[in-house]
Amino acid sequence: MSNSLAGIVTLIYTLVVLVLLYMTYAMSGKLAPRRKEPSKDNLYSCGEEPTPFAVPRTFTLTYFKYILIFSLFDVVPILVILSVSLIHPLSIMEYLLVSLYILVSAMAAIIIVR
Amino acid sequence: MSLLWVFNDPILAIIYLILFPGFIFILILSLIFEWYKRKVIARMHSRMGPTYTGNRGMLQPFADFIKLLFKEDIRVQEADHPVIDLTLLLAPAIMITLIAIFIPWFGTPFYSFTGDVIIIYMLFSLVSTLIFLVGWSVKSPFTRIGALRLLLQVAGFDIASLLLLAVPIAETGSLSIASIAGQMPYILLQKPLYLIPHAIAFILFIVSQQAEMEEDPFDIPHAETEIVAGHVTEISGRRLAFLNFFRDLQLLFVGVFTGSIFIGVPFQGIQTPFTWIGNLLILLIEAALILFILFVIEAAAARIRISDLLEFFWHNVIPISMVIISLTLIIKGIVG
Repeated sequence: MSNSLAGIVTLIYTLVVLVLLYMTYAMSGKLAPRRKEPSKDNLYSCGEEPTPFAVPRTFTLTYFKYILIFSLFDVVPILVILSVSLIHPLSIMEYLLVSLYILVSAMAAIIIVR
Repeated sequence: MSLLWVFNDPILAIIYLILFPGFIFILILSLIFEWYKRKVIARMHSRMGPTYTGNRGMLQPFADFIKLLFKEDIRVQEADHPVIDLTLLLAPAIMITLIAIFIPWFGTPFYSFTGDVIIIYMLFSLVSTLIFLVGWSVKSPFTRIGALRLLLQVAGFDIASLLLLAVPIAETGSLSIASIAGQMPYILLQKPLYLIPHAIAFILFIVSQQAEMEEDPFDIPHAETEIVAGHVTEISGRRLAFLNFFRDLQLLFVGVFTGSIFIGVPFQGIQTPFTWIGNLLILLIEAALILFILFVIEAAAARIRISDLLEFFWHNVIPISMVIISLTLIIKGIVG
């Protein structure tokens, strides 16, 4: 009755759910009506001519900095979470170190974004 | 106590996997939460909401789900259909598994380990983000803009919501959902100083979850009337049914996860049938109350711009989260 066995059973559970969902999906595909019509192949475009290649391929530069900072700062919460979970109630040094770390991260985030 | 005794008996195992708390029970529960959402929002709008199917329209989400399954699945030429199909099958499957493993169905979660709070929340966040593939796989300006907006939105709220998770973790000193949920009510009662940072963290966390679920005022990726339906514009029939089902699962997850982490359950670890049922009922009531707040916000608020969302989370919520974590640590230093 180990935790690793529970992990395997969880994986089996996911597969069972996936199979059940797939069966529902496939059954629906067989039973739903299919009426071929050329206009159904086209993209929806509010009554205008569809423009499938007029699609944005790049991010707006203004927002790019958010993505860049996001990729750097997404690691910070995990480190914060791991740090705060390991603190012992009586260790003042641990509190100081983690608080300092959080403060520096907050200041860095504010300075970079502004 | 592990729940693996269930799997010693094949019949019990099948019941567990398929009926309760497996696929069918979670499907029913999530559709009930959809009905609850539609009723609350309708009341806020001075409407009746679903009334026709079932008692007080309770079966309306079931009827809608079945109706959509038997509608024509219109597939445009300019799209990568296998990617859309795979996304819409995998996303609900992973969500059902996440819900099934951390809820204390029989007094204890099926699978609990140190760090599960991070893993389960990050998987939820990842699966919610993966929905952008549904829009990105269609060569329509509306779907592509919706998909890009979704990614930008994630860049806004994801760090904030992860940081806010650090508050209950710091209070309890645990990285396991079961342990946090079990300790939380007693910690808040015994150490009321925690209540101030805890309440602020709770409010900010549910606001970030509103953004995660793409609900008003953060429904920017699928902004109706502005970019048609954003990343889900070309979805119909069974694919729309699966997408709606996924949205219902998101509702259920947000309710029970936030309830477990920020409010907790009082009888965790006490192994009697009464406490099993009690814990489950308390958790579902907590989920309903948390979602009620979210539905009221949804019904009352108008959509904000993506730049405002990013500014709100980066300039306000993230710095406040850092301050709250520091405050929680200081309180922990004082009260132990």
